[in-house]
Amino acid sequence: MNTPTEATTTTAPGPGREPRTLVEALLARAAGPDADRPVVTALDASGDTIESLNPVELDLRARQLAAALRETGTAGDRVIVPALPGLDFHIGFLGCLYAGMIAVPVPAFRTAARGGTTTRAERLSAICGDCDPCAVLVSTQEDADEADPELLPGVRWTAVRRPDRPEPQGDALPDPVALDPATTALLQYTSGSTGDPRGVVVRHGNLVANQIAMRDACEVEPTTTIVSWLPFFHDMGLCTAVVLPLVSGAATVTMEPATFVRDPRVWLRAIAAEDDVFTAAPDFAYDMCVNRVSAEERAALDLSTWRVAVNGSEPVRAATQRRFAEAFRLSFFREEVFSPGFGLAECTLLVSVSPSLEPVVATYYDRDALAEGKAVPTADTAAGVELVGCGPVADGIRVAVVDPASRQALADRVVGEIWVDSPGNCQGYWGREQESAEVFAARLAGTEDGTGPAYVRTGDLGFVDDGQLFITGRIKDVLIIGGENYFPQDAEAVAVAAHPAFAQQRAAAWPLHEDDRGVAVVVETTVRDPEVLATAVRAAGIAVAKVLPTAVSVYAVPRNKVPRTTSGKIRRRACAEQMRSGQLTPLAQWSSKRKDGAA
Amino acid sequence: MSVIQEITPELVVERLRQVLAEMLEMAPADLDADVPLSAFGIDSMTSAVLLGDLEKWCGAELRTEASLGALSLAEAADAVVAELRQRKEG
Repeated sequence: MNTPTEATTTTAPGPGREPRTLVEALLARAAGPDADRPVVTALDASGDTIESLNPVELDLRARQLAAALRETGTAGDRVIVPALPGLDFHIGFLGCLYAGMIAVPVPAFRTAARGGTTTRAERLSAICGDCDPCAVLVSTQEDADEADPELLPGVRWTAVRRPDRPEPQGDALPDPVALDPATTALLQYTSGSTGDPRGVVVRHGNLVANQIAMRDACEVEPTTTIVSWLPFFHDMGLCTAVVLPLVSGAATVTMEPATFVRDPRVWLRAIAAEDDVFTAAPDFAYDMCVNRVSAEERAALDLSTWRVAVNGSEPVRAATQRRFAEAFRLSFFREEVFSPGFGLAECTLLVSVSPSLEPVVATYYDRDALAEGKAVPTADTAAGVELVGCGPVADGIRVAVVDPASRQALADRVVGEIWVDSPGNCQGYWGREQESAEVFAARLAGTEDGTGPAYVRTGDLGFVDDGQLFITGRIKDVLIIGGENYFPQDAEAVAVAAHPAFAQQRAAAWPLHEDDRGVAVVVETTVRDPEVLATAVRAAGIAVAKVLPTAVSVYAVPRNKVPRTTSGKIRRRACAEQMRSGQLTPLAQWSSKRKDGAA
Repeated sequence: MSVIQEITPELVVERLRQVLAEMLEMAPADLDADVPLSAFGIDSMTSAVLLGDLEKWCGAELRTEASLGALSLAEAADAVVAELRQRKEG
């Protein structure tokens, strides 16, 4: 792995040292030899260039916006930055940082005045209620004039594009806090329930340190082009398409998510058009490419310039990567281009990633041993679970696999909760001190007095084997879905209430493991009529799916079959194990996702 | 616009069913129209993708909600049609 100070002396901003903030990186680039080379380019739905900005142009536009923002608020104020089209998000985000303000990326939304609105505005209002922004960005002054003042009362609509604005005086901008790694750059709101958004407080130093680690692991260089369709309000989209190019000297080509989903070939062609390409996308994107691009079209594509395809943000499936590599061998794609990774917003993004062009590690582990918390490789694929290694932990980051009950660190090949100690570890959730202390300042047993490092608790279960981090599931008895905690009791209560056949009965819910993200619910019943039971399990499934945003399976079992402790407490783990082993046979079952659906 | 007039809930359900089935590698028939989309694996990322597709397809901007996953196919279709109607009137 390269030593940053040595490897980047010719390319890094400033003479032989790393930038400390994103703004510093852009300033250095605008003053350096690459000042007239495009740093960001936006493509339209057919892959044609809409706009391209070099560092000098990007710097100027960010300054113009920053000057306008300073008329509305001061350093430290929050600004809503929707995922605006073209390059407006880049300008908007950087403009906030130049002003010393805190950017709050959110999905794009409809701003024009009109009667009535749906629950979609609720999440935005909840975010505004949580972080109290002074302004919300829109693309043009026309958009600002037409915006519905009722939508976000008390918040000023500010246009990203300031064509009439003279070049601001340079001495006041960027604000000094934009050059201080310890100050807050943005709030990354985690997805999840509408009414309860939580904003991860990401500092300037977190962004830079985390994406320097990505740069080094994946060898992203000034000659590299990052080709992205990810939404900018998502941690992986923001980090890889906005932060990574600035800390690495690379260029970015972006398109809207809708462009990719409508025609994945636009993304693939944009990759083929560049010389040395880095991409990041979730697992499903690679499946979409295989499903939607014909062999004839694959044969016409040359993807030999694609060097790094990070696969992250969703569980990584070996089958997906193999299938993609096989299908696109026609296009000169090699499987080692895949760099599976693991990350989370609480750590800015990256925790581990397979380095550039390393062969993918996929190993079968004994299923029964895994259920007992031991990772034992097996040659018997029928008795095993195939897991993909999410690479080694990146430079400067340490991971402890921890027994959540005793808070003791565990040995290699033992499953525990993944705890992360990283320069990317964020400060906490905005305005939630107690919850922040639990998640962002966890300490191992014996170091509660602060002698050891403070870890971020990921809520993910996994193990380390031969230097690779493997993810196996979620921590028990708390269902973590999209970064939010849910409690099995809630699923059990709605399942029981969903149908008369389950009324007054007992239920047990637990998270599904391996590839099948989701929740399983077992409900006891005295009913034996198969038709009634079929209706009941479906009703319970839909009811559970309404409270838990994940895949749901429901099983009806005879009365008194759900295992309990002597005091009557439901033993969810034991129930899961009995169901899996076949010891507990359901009378009826229903699943939102068919297991044989995957390729 | 004539395009907007032609969009019915049934059409939207079929469109969503087709895109979802491709994305999730499920048989279209396995996508129960009354089940919240999150149960099929729709999270914030896939939701953004679906919403983008819907907008390109029929112009409906159901974009502010982070979780299209909270809606079923039938509910999402109703929301799309309601949005288009509201836009036409407003």
